Amino acid sequence: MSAVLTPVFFVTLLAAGVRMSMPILLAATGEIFAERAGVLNINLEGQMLMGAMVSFLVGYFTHNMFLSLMAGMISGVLMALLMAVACITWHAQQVVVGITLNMFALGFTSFWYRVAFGVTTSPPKADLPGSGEQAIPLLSKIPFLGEILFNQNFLFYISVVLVIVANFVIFRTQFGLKLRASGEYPKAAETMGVNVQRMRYVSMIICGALAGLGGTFLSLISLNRFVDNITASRGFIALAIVIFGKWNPLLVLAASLLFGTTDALQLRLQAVGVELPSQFLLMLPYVLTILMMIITAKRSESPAALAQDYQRESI
Amino acid sequence: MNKTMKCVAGLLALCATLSLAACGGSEASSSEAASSQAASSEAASSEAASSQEGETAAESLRIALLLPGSLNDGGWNANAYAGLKELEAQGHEVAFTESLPISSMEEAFNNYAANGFDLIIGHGFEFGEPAMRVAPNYPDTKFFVSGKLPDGVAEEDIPENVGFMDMREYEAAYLAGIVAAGMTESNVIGYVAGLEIPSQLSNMAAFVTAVNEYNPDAKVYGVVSGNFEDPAKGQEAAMAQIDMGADIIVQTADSTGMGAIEAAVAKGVKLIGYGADQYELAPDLMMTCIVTDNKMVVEDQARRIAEGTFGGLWHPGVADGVCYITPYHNFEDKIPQEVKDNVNDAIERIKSGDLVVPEILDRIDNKM
Repeated sequence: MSAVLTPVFFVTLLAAGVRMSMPILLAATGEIFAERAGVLNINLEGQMLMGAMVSFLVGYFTHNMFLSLMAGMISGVLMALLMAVACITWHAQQVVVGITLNMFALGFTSFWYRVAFGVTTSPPKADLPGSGEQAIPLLSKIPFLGEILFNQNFLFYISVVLVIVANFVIFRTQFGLKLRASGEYPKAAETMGVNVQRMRYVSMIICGALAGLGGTFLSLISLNRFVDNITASRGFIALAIVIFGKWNPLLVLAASLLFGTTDALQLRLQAVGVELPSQFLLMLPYVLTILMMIITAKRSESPAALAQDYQRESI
Repeated sequence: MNKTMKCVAGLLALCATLSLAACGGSEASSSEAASSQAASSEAASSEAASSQEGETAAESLRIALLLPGSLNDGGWNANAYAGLKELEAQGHEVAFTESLPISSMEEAFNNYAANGFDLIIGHGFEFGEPAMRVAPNYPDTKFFVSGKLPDGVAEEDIPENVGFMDMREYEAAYLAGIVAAGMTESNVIGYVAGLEIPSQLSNMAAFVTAVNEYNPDAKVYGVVSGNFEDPAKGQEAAMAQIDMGADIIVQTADSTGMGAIEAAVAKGVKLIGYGADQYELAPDLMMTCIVTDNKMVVEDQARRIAEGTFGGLWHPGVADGVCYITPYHNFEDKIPQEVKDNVNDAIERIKSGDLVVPEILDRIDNKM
């Protein structure tokens, strides 16, 4: 056990936990907006995948981090708009459309990646400034905390700010009130002059942008590469994290960090050779998430009109 | 009433089309078989179409390749696909389906066989059972599985039209272990594997065996990432090992391994790759790669059919040149001559039969 109970183990574990929770945190924060407005956006995975692929393409050819981030967000938004048009304007079943669009995104991204680079045993790497970790001067020298919190990619700081802003917007602004009203009782909201359809569109755009950013983190920030299905179901984990975090950005931040750290922990326990079957360790983060959901979900706090279609004319 | 009639008529028409497609043999082109499959339909059908135009010699075969993962994994699948392209260049008509889930394997075999393909290659041990079930129904079609025999099937039970390849990739992993044993300075080696399946387990165990023999002080710590398609996880797995002091990272996890390579590059840690010569991914850090020449394996099946030697259980390994480790490239001068001699000596002894690398299907890497 000596290798586990060391400061180095804990510091590197927590730093890795922060890294691993990033893409999930970004996507889950976006999903809070969508679900608060009443759209169950199962297409999260597809939006992440789109963001990952498009931002990689742009990053590879332009070497410009800002452009790549924008491209990742815009492609996530386009994917989300596809879902929004089908579900909000055309009133299609949200879950069905979401699942279908996930398959579409997987095929679309794999196909266009191959068009661009072909099938190769040495996939190309995007070289652009701003990927990897960036130590903040002075702060990163703080013992323990510095390594965990101030030696991360710049996107980490942006995401923390985004979470705080999201929390403020959802709970402290008029926009947030309208957003929540659209997801709780759309008819009442409409009666009070809220354009529910428009609110849902706006929420989907925000969600797509954040999910696209989460995908960008995977392909450009940490890996510098794109591979087929790079998101590997992180979009679905984010869906669970939103429930776990009770549709509250701050709780979702905590939930993502817990999931990321547990995932990092199981890899690290394997790496020091803990005498446990690898299968058991692999399921650790998922078991923990389920357990926490059972413990915390005493009463359901999901938006009342979640996944329900809204039609103005219906009575 | 009218509606019901329409429905019935529609159903009948559908049945007719389906049965035509099923027994149409050569007319029902391969593109049809391919398009009923998932993912890669477009690529497959266009390939089939293009090779039909260039119809050549009499022994031209119709060959389908079924892959368990994505073509672009830079390893196991990409390598087999390269073999298929080679066959196409030789004038054979080819088609493929990638990322096949286990539940669809039998159906994929059936589809291609019903459409008159001569050779269907299931690339991986997981194709064994589906192939054994489908093969008796299509005696004129050859089925090749690049993997071990399924549990409970003896060598003499293999139907005539089925071939298996129980490759000894672990022999190459053993050779890589000799290199790692000689090159580690911290005596901690990280090994990132994909899943605890037979080929992965035997590779890891053979690697550990070699390290233990050639450098008893060195320890190998394995991490199983849980799948072959999650580079972000592979990256963190390797990071964990590097944080624990590993100065060599070995990966045998295809796409997941891409992430492990990336972590090692970021931290300047030496690497051993897998599946293909991955030298280009990290020119200054990649010492060598563990390779099964799937390109050669796939290509070879067409030759064996032509020669009439197809079928049975084939045990290729280092001695046959199917499994090997790739050249050292930039490490040619950095790896001590003694280590290289040890590798060459091991190769000679494997070829002569003096050295039998044990196939251990268990985790024997270091535990606390």
